[in-house]
Order: sequence, then C-alpha cells, then structure tokens
Amino acid sequence: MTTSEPTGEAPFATEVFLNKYLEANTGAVDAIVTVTAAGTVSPATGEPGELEETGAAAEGRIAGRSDQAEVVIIDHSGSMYPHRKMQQARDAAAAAVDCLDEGVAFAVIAGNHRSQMVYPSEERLAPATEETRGAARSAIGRLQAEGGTAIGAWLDLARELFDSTRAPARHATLLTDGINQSQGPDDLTVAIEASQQVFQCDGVGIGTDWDVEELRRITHGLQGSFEFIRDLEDLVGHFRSVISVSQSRIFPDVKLRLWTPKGATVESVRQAAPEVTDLTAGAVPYDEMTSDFLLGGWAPGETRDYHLRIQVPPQEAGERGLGGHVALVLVNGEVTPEVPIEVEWTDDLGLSTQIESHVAHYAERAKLTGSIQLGTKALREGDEETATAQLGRAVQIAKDLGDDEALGWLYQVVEEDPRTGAVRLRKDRDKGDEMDLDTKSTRTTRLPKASREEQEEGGEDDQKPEDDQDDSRDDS
Amino acid sequence: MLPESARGPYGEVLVEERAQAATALTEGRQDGRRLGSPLCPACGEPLTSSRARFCEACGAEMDPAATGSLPFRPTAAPAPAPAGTACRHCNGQVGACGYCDTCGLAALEPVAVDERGSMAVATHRGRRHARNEDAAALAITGEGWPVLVVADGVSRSTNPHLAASGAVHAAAEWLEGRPFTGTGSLAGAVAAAQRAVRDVGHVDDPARSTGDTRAACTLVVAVATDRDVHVANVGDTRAYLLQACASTSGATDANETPGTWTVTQLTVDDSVGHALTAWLGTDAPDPPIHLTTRPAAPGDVLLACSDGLWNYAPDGPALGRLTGETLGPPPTAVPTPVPLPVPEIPPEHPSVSPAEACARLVSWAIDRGGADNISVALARIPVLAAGQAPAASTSDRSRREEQHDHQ
Repeated sequence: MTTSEPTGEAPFATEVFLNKYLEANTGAVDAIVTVTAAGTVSPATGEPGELEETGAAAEGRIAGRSDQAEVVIIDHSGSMYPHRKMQQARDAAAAAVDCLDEGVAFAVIAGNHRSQMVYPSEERLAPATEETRGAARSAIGRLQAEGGTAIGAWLDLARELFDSTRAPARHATLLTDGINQSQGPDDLTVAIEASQQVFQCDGVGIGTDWDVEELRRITHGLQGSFEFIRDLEDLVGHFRSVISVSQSRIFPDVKLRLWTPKGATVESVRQAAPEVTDLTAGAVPYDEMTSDFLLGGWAPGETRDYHLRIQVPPQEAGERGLGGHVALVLVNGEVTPEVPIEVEWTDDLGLSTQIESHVAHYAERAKLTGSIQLGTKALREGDEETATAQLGRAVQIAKDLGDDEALGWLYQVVEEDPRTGAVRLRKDRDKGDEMDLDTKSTRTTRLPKASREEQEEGGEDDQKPEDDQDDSRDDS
Repeated sequence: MLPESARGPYGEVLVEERAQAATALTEGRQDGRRLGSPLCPACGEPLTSSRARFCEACGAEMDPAATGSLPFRPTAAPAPAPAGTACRHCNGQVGACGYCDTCGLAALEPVAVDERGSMAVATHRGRRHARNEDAAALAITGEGWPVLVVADGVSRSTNPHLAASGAVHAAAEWLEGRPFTGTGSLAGAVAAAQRAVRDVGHVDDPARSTGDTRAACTLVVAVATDRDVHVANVGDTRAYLLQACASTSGATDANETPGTWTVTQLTVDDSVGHALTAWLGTDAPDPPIHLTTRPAAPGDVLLACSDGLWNYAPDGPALGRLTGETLGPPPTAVPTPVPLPVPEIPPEHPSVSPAEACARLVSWAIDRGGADNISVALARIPVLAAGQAPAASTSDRSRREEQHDHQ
C-alpha cells in the first residue's frame, strides 16, 4: 500500500491513501485524500479550538473579524405561521445575531416568494456592534409570516450582499420550512450555480413540509451541510452553534487542486467524511489538466477525507507513473506543495486486487448511504417493499461497520422482528422520522486513527468496527 | 527481530548475515544497511562508491588497495531520472519528482554503470519488471586477471534480488586478490555463491504476493588471463568470447567477414525453451556447474550477460553485429600493453570504453523492449608488457588457509 507522509507544511497537511498497484493494461485509480488544517481541535467537545500561534499558518487565513461576513436568511412564508415556527425562527435569528463577534459584517434577510432586507434596511452589510445588533434584533422582531417560497431569490439577494464586501470568509445560514414552490427547479439551479464561489451556505429545515433532497442540493452545492431541527426548542441553540462554527473557520474559501495526466479522466471527486457530498459537478477548470474543487472554509484542526476516482491511460506491467497530484489553493492564491498519487502497473494480481483500508472503508459507507437514500426515496413514493429491502440492507451494513449511530437513525423508521430478525418498517413511524433518516444518510464516520494505523501495518481488508467517537461536530 | 532500520530499499528485511557478510570492513557492525555500498573503515558510514577516495562523512582518505578490492555491486535503489530530461513516452518533460509533467509516467532511472580497470558492468531493471533482480560484480585475481560475475534472480522465487546480490558478491570476494588456479578457483567461487544464496533467509518479500519458494538465481563467473578465458555457469546467464574475425583462436561461428567480431558462446544454457533447469539456491542442492576454458588473445573481449540482453540477440551472428555496432570494429593491431593490476586506464584505445560499451548494450536492450532485467559485464583480455610474467600470488597464506577452512 502506498501512503504519503503528511506534508506538515502550514497551513494544511495532505495525505494520500491507495493501493498503488494497478493491474497491467487497466487504469482505474481509487484514492482517499485526507486534508487537515493546522491548529488544534478542542478535545473536550470536538469543537474546533483556537489556532495555536505557531506562526506557521500566517497565510491563507483571515486577519480579523472584519474579514468575515455572515448573512442570516429566514423563511417567512405563510406556512411559517402555525406551530410557533415564525416565533422560534425570529428567536433563532436574534440569537444568531447575538453570537456574532464584534466587527463581523452581517445582514439579516427574510424570504418568501421574494426576498427582502430585514437588517440593515438598505442592501448592504453592517459591522456587528452592540448598536447594530440591537437594531437588527428589533427589525427581526417585526417580521411576519406571509407569502410563498422562492429560495433562489433569497440566494440572489445574499449573493448581492456578499458581492459588495471584500471579506474573504462568507457564510450564510438559511432556514426554511417548505419546498421551493414559487419557483421552478431550474431557477433554483441557476441561483445555486451563481452563488458558487461567492458564499458558503448551511441550511436548517423545520417542520415536515420541506424537501430533504432540495435543501441538500442547495447546501451541498454551496460547500455547506444542513440539519433537520425537529424540536423547535432546539432552534436557538442550533443557530448559535452554526454561527459559532462558521466564525471558527479562519481558513476561508479553500480549493482542492487536482492535476491528472494527459489522457486521464476525473470520474468523481467526493467528500467522504464527515459528510458525503459530491464535488464533481462543481469543478472549476484551472488548465487543461487541472481542476479546482471548492471546499469552503476550514477551522483549525479540522480534517476531512475525500474520495477521488481517476481513470488513467492503461500501461503495461512495469510502468510507474502518477495517477495525479493534489494540492490546496488558499484564499490568498497560495498553493500548498503537491502531493503525488503514485501508481505502478503489475502482472501480479495478488498485488493489484488488494483494496486499501481507507478506500474499503469509504466504499462500505457509500453503500450504506446509498441504501438509506434508496429506502427513503421508496418511502416517499409509497413503495414499502423496496423501502423495506433497502433499509434492511442498510441495517446489515451498519451492523457490519459497527456503526451504532447509524443504526439509531435507522431504528426510527425500521425495526427488527424479535423472532426472525427480519427488518420491517415501523408502524409508528411518521414523516419526520423518515425525513430525519434521509437527512442523516450522508453523515459518515472516519476510520479512527488507531485502527487506521493498525490496518496499515497488519493487513489490507480487515474491516474493524470503528469506535463511534467520530468527529461529529455540530453540523452547520 | 531486526531493528526497523534494517530494511532494504524495497522494504525487505535484510538478513543480518547478509549485512555482516558485506566486507571485512564491516566487522562488528550489527545493524542492517542497504546493499550496494561499502563502509568507511574509520567511521562506519557508507562510502559513495566502492572506489571512493575519501569518506564523505569523516573525511578519512581511503586506501585504494583496500577499497579497490571491493567488488562492484549494483545500486540498491534506482536513482530517479533528473528533472528536465525528455520523457521516453511522450513529448513532455520529466518534472522534479521523476514523473513526466504531461503524461505522468515515471522516467526510467538511468543505467547503473561501474568500471574497474579494463572491465565494466552495467545493469538495469528493464521496463517490465518492478525491480532489478540481476546483480553483477567485478573482481581482480591475485595475478591481476579481470573477473566478471553476473547473476539473475529467479523471478518465481522469493527475494531473488537478495539471491543474485549475495551470489555475485560471494563469488567475487572468493576470487579477489587470490591466486587463480583455473577450474579449482572457479569451483570455489561457485560454491561460495551457492552458500550465500542458501543463506538468504525465508523472509517476507514485499514485492511478492504469493510464493514460498526459496531464493534462487543463476550465475556466470568469467575470468580472462592473458592467453585464455575460464568460465563457470549455472543456469542461463551467459558468457561470450568476442574475437576479431581474422584471429586464429579457432572460432566456430560461420560469420567470417574480416573486420567484424566473431562470437563464441562459452556457457552452456541450463534451460529447455525458456524454462530454467538449474540454478543456485536451497531448492537446488547439487546444481551442475559447467566449466569451460578457451584460448584467447589480446584484442579479444570477454562478455558476460543475463538473458535480458541475449534474449534480443540470441545467436552468435546477431550478437556479433550488435557488438560491432556497440564496440566498434575489432582492433587489427595488438593493443598497447598496460601493466597489471590497473586501477585506472587511460583511454588510449580508439574504440569505445568498456563502461560505455556496457551502458550502450543495456540501453539497446531497454529500447528493444526491456522485458527483463538486463546486466552486461565486459573485460578486455589483459596484455602483459614485454618481460612481464604473470604475477605470483600476492595474497598471504593465512588468508588462503582461512578460506579453505570455510569449504
């Protein structure tokens, strides 16, 4: 197996894991790339901590709070009125504003079938001070629920606000309770694409009328993730957490730069941990052999894994070459040292058919995600038979992985017959349970470091059940 | 358990005996180290080459008589091709880490060449094999006769590179500085090689996913005196005598065109088709050893090589043509006598130097496809100055006795 040493050069470290042996006259390269930001993660909570003053990570990070811009987007469509949703949303937005550090540029937007400024009243960002926060809280308090839902328009307004600032770290938090019914899906797509490379967006869904796949599409397309807050009492705490995590991201707007040799094709680039997202479609070409993939902002000590699949021109046994090389591009244009993805063609099937442990782990997790999503999709379509089959398979994979957390999510929707062990849908499940499972389907756990090292030394394919102390930061 | 540092360039665990058997200079050192470089007797750090004049680490001046006696061993790990060279596969350029900036394929590492006096050796892993399992060594007998040793690790076996390396080193050491007695010396050298191959422990070979066969290799040992050549071989590594067509040494090849080389194969192939029938190693306790002697004259050339070369030029005429292209035409006059032993030789000959010739032959085989590892060793038949008799033994009796004890 080939692993590269962490480059250790500030501010990011990159490692590559793969089986470097390719069968002669084939060209499929499967690699896991682990990227870790400099600095430390606070061990107690798993929350990112402060950046140690190592002096090593001077470039590519924000200099001060005014380098950060936050926009809070609150759905105030008519459907927000019942069940105190609007009230909770106002409280959450106010709490978010209170969490802003002094000097952060911010604004609050309200969206229905249109979008409008809540604070400031003009289309601009304001620096967070005691005064502006107070004014914002007042404006938020006057927000009423009415109208439809056109999320694309909300994104457009946010984009205009971010375009007006030079702050490099740009983040929006978007709350919705419904589907994008006032607008066509293509309009939403256009808005998402226009917003890529402008700002990063995390989402929150409340109630059970919003569309999980839609919110996933928006947030994953904008380097963020989303959460389903079932208990509205939790909304305020969640918003605080989202803002807090966003403000800890001192390395804004990082890109993964992937070079592949002439004649090679990049089949996919996916984030594999902490959440499964597909970055392939969002590739930004750099030159004819290189593309950049948007990774968004990073907090100190944060680590994420990416799964790259590259198809290279096949070669005869004995040839050695590069499947590609990866580097990171920081917001100031600085590029970290390239880390090679080295391959070697061989006639020895015993060498070329081995699966490297990280690749194997994420392949299993991808199966788990896939099964869950096929299951929840079947549920939405009323196809209980397919749903039962897919979720049954998901339960088995989760057990094989030793992932008790995933089993917990699954058990909201399915149960096992105490006599036969067969998996069946729970009769007492509700739409919220299904949406929650769907929301969580893209969460993954990393191969814990200890068992990673053991597997590198010991063997190739043994799938140790990993501990469940994953880096589950409160997602945003 | 060997310490972590005792791993070879391919990650293989170095057998401790292998490390200690390296040379007399390593006496007392316990840790394993890379095969391929002798150690400084003063500080123990690896020297840059077997003929280094100074130790890079401590500055001690090397005694040429001491280091000059060390047989050449091929570089253990291939050095990457330098940046800026043209890519063999496409029109691109090789970048800083040894890969082409366009097609990403690794440049072939350069051919490893070493020379000593009128001998030279070159070796390369070729294009299709992941590592070089050939090995070669040069030595000089007590009388000053050149010795060529080439071994080819059997691919199916485990750690074939350690077998080949151990075999050539043992055979070269056996003959180095000792009086050469013809058949007896050759037999002793082969026996030493066989012991060395059997000593290669049954250790994990990272480049072999399967295989529990013990290390094995072929061997050819070729010695040139001023009047004849002596060759011993096991397996299918070969030695040839190349002669000017006009010479009267009884060449049997049909090609009689004057001004070209006549090629006589001196070894006997232990193979049927391409299947090897004899080799050195634990699994071959009593291999047949082919011994050959042939008259030779100044101007002739002794060539030893692995099948990585002769597979592309399998018969006499083909090799003769290749030799002509590589070495140039055979000399028509008796070469200028040069006294023995010769640590350095000024290039008075108009023809190509042995090192250049070996490198060219290896490159030729790479260009033809490089399907196997390639090793080529070459020596010119030594010439005695007028009045100079073959030197009597210069090695001391005690060493000879010590070696006899090992038999």
